[in-house]
Amino acid sequence: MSAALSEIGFVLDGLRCSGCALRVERELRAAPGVHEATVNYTTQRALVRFEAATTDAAALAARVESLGYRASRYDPAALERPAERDARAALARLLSAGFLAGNLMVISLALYFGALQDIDLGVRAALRWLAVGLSIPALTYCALPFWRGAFAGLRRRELTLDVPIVVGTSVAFAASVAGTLAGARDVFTDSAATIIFLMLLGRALERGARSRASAAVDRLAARAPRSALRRTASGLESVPAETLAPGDRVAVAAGQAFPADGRLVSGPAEVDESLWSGESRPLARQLGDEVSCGTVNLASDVEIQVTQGLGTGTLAHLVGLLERAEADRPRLQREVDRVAQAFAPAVLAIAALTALACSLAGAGPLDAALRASAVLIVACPCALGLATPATVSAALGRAAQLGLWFKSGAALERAARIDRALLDKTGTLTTARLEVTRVVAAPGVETDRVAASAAAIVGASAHPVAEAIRREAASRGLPVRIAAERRVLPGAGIESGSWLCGSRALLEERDVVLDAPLEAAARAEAARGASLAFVAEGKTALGILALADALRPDARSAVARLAAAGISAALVSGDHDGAVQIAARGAGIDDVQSGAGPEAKVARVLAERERGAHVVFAGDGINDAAALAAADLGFAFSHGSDVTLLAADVVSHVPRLESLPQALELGRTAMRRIRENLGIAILYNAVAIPLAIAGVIGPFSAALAMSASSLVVTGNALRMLRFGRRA
Amino acid sequence: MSFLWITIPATLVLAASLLAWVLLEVHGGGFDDLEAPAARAALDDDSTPERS
Repeated sequence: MSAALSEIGFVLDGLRCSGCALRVERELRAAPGVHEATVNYTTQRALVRFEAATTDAAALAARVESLGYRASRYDPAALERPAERDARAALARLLSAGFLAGNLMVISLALYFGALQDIDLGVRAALRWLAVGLSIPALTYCALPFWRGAFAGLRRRELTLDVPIVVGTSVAFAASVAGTLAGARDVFTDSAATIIFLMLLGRALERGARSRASAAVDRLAARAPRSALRRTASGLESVPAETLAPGDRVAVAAGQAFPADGRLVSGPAEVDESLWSGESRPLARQLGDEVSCGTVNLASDVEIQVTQGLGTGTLAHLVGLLERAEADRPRLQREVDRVAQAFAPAVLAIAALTALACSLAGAGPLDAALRASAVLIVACPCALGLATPATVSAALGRAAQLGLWFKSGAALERAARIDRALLDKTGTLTTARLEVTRVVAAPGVETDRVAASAAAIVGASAHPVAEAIRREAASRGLPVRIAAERRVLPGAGIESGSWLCGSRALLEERDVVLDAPLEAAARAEAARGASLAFVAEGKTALGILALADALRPDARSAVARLAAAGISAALVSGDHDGAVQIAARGAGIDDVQSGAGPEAKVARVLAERERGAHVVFAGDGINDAAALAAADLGFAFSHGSDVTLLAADVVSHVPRLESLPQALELGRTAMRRIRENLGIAILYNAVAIPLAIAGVIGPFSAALAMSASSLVVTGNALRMLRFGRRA
Repeated sequence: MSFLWITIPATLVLAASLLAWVLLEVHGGGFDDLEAPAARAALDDDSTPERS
């Protein structure tokens, strides 16, 4: 990859169907210097990777605009204006179309019943002309988006899906005017207006679905404050957050979000990091600790020194991650897009043939025109184009709410196929936190005394071993008198007067002798993979605390849930066999491989895939990164290293193993919804088009059926937003 | 049926002016956010005009 490759996002205005999205995508890909371009119809966004030396954002935007669409750089602050304006215009059109269609329907009723009761011919003519007059604004002002789309397409010499709609309603209207002039028995002015109203209604609902589905990205982007209080020589000044540079000092009041990634230079602080973890428990942060953009400073006013500007910080990285995830489409969708492209010309041809056949069969030109317009309207493949993107967007949005970040829509598709899970031990099956698993006392000493002494010696030290010892003392209900004086011996232990708590090496250095029973216990625990902390007073060893990382409380239930979904789990770890066996037994896993280094893990993944299994690998360490990339699906917890997070397809911000089966279930449910949606859309078109050709479905029912199919598909996609609610 | 010649135009004018009023409100932003203003009324703290 060239070093000068940049990536930008565009918000697109005027995309009317998945065909439009495909067209913009093709245009962007054809531009010089562009390596990769993806357009997401559901979120109306484009993502372009290009060589900064060859082209720039303005040139790319101009290319999009030459097609008749508007493109603006993706910037959450600027995003709201065009969206707001569009939403107002769409609502005004929808309300007007509803008003006109409603009135036209009442007039039609009057004419219908009037015809049965010998209506005065003058009144009939007046009502008919009134209906013609009312349908003119419906077909012009209200239908403007369809006209615009049709003409923008024709200028490119392409038939968009707007063309059948415009032609269909215009033909219905022209036929009605001709009928009114000729004094025909029936006219259909209300149909054209009703079609426009229903089409607009479908789009309004679709717009609502889209904004709900893309809300996850917007909400995330909106977490970053727009302005910041920067400290200067003369005091504090308010500056836009995007102008902050590394090294700036920024004051953050209690209750406000940090405007950039930085390090605390005054503190301590309490931080709400629910943005990342979904957990709103405040976390304590000390002077010098890192805080990330978008997390909230809770307790007191603090100052930070900026380490990363807004464009390169954690939040920007995550927003980019989500954007890319939505841009990367499942393979299924790419096929559907190609089919939708060929649709409009085919539909126009079928409609023309229908009209021709009707005329040849002896029907009047009015009947032939009406039947052709029914075909045009019923065949709008909106449902087909909507089926996959709406479901993927809703699924990714819901996953983000659950603390699961799918890096791509394709990852959803892969998650659905998984039937084999390989789990790493440390940090995945177990918490990365140490726990005291056993306390061994020298003969004549109580274990409680060993624990209490150890807790007294380590005092308030922040070392993980010290924390585990304090928790152990607390769980035994021991009164702990913290030693007044303490000396930390880095890498060895802690010394307080004549008391020692530390490693075996420290004991040997101080010539402390271990009793035979203690020695035996120490050997046994070490063989099981436990870490040991020795407690001694003077030259006498009092006892040993064995420490190991604890099994996640939900490990067993998560493995059972995997098994229930037909996914067999295996434990693949680099640890000692003893420690791995204990963890495996605790979690209910039979298939165990211990002492596996990074290469062995990759080899295991490849061997499983060779057998035809679809493998998910779950891990968190740097040594798992290669295996994560080699697996069909890589699953990592967010506390893992950067390399691991890059290699993984799914990142869980929830520190529970249950999120692994949940992610796989979400993938399966999403793929089921997509298949259902494609089925509904295809079935609808397969049934409705022949019926319209046969003349069973008139223009009015055609409009109803078309909108209904779009609504059913969108509603089915939105069910993803309820995934996991009942559990 | 001569009353129709008066009532139909009259109702149309009435309905059209109501529609015009609604459209005016739409473009003025009256329908942009249907949830927040209601919540704001409940959450408003009169004593502090602006907190930042």
